[in-house]
Amino acid sequence: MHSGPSRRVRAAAGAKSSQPSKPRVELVLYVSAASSHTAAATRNCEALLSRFDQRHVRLEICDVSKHPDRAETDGICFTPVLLKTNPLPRAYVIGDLSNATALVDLLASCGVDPLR
Amino acid sequence: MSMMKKIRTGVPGFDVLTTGGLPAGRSTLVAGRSGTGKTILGLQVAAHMCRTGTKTIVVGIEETAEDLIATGDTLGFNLTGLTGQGLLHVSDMMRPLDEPTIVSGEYDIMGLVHRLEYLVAQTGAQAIVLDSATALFTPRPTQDLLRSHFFQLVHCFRRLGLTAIILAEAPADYSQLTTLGVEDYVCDMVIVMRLAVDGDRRRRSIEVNKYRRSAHYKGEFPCTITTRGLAIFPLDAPDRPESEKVERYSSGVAGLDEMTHGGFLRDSIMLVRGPTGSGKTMLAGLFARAGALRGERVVYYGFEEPRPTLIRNFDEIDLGIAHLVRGGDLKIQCRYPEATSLEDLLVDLRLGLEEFQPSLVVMDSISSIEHASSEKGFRQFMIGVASILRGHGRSALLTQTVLAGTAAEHTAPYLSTIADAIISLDYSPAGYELNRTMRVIKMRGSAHETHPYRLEIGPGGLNIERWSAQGYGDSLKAEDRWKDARS
Repeated sequence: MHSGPSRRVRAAAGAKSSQPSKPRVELVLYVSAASSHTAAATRNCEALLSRFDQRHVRLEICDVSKHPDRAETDGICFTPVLLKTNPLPRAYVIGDLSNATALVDLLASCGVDPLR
Repeated sequence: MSMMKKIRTGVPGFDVLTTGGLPAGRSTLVAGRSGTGKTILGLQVAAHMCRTGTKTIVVGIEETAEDLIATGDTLGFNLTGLTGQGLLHVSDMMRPLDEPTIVSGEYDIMGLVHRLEYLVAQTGAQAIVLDSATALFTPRPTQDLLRSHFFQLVHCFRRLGLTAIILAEAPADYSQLTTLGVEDYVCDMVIVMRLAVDGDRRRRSIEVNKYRRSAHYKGEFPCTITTRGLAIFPLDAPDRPESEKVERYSSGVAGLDEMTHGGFLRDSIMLVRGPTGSGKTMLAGLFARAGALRGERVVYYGFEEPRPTLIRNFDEIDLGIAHLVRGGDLKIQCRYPEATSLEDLLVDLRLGLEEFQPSLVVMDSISSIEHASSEKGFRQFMIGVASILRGHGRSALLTQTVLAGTAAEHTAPYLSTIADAIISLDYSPAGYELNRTMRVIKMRGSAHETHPYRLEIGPGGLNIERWSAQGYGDSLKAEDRWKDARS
C-alpha cells in the first residue's frame, strides 16, 4: 500500500539528479542476422514499447553476429534475448516476445506502466 | 572403415575400445548420470588433445572456468599450464543463476553459435568439449525445438571443423540415454558412463553405445577414476610381439615342474583351483618364493590373511620369505576385498606393475573377491586383471577356492579363457587320512602329464610323487604310502 507514494518520491529524486534525462529502464535486445526469429522479435519489441513513454525506456538492438564479444560479456547463448541491464537485478526474457505479458510485467516491476 | 580419421584421447583403454579414439571433425556424445565422470573424461581428453597439437576449447555451462581448471589441475591435467601456452581455452557460458529468466515465444541458439565462431577464430581451436548439453538447454524448450537446437549446435561444430565432445545427463544408469532424449541421433559416437549399484558396492563402467562407420568394442567395460583421471580396462590388451623362444621357469615345486615337462611358460596366467586346505596358498607361496630367490621381482596379493600371519606361516614350515620381503624382491600386499572397490584393486595392480615392474604376480585368492562382489562385477574384474597382466606381458598365478572333489570340473568360461594353465588340487578321505592329489588340467603351448599326482603337505613344502593308477582310491595302500613317507 506504500508503493504509490514511494514511487513518486523516487521519481522526484530522479528529477533533481544531475541526469534527469536518464531513462528508468534500459533494455538490450540481442538478435542475430542469421536467426529466423529476429524480424518477429524486433517487430514485437518495438510495437510493445511504443505503448510506453519513450523517456522512461531505452532500447538498444545488438546483432550478436557483429558483436559476439558483447554476447560473451552478457552470457547470451540464445537469440532473441531481451536483457534488462538497468535497474538491477538484470533479467532475461528469452524468445521472440510473441507473448507480450512477459515484457509488460518486467517493465511494471520497474515502475513503468503503459501510456493511457 | 579404417580410412576414417580419428583423434587419440590418451585416456588409458579408451583408444582400444574405440579402435583409435574420437571421430575427427565429428561430435561424440558422452552420456551418464551425475557423478559418473563425464567432466573428468572431457577435461582429460581436452588436455591430451592440447598436448598432442589439437587446440581445444572447453565450454562450461554449469561450472565457472576457474572451477573446471581447478578440477583438471587436481587430476594432473595441467590445464593452467595449457591455458598459459595458448593451447587450451576454458570459457564459461554460464548465465548468472541469480538473475531471473523468462521465456516468451520462440528462439534459437544463434547467440552461442556466433560466440563459438568468434572463439574459434580467436583461438584457432580444432576441438571442443561442451559441459553440458543438459545445462545449456535449460530452461528446456519443447521437444521439437530442442531437437532443432541440438541439431543447430552439432551442425555448427561440424561447420567449424571441430572434433566435439558433448556431455549430457542421463536420468539413470540403464534407461533412455539422456534426459533430453534427442542427442544421440546426430552424434557419430555415443559413450555411456555408469556408476551402478552392485550389491553394496559401486561399479563404474563405460560402454561405446554407437560408433558410426567404425568398429568398436561392445558391452560394458570396467573403469575407474584415479588421482590421475579416468582409466578403462578393455578386454583385449594390445598384442605383444610373440617371443621366438619358449621360455620356461620353475614353478617352485620340483614335482610340478616334472608334471609340466619343464616348468611354467613365461607370460602366461596359471589358475590353481582347489578346496580349502588343499595347498593352494602353499603353492602360491612356493611359486613367489622361488621367483624371488632367482632374483625376480614378485608381487603377492593376499586376500585371505593378514600379512604378518602369511609371513609367519611360511617361516613355520622352514620356507621363510621374510628376508625376501626385506630384500625388496618380494612385495606382499594383503587386504580384504570387502574393504576396497574392485576398480581400486585394478588400479593398484596396474600402478604396481608400472612402478615395481614385477615379472611374477600372485593373487591368493580370487575367490575372496568373487564372494565380495556380484557375478557381473567379478567377471569384469577378472577381465580387467587379465587385460592388465597381458598388457604388461607378466606371468601370474591365481588361486581359486572350490568345493572338495570338484577342482577338476568345469570352470566358468571366462576364467578358463583367461587361464593359460589350470592346475587342480584336491583331496578325498582315505581312512583316517586324506588322499591329496594335484593335476594339470590344461596347459597351453606345452605337453604335460594328464593323470593326477599324489601330493603331500609338510615341512619343506609340497611333495609330489607319481601315483600308480592301481593305487588310486585304495585307502589301505594310501595309508601305507603315507606311513612310508613319514618313516
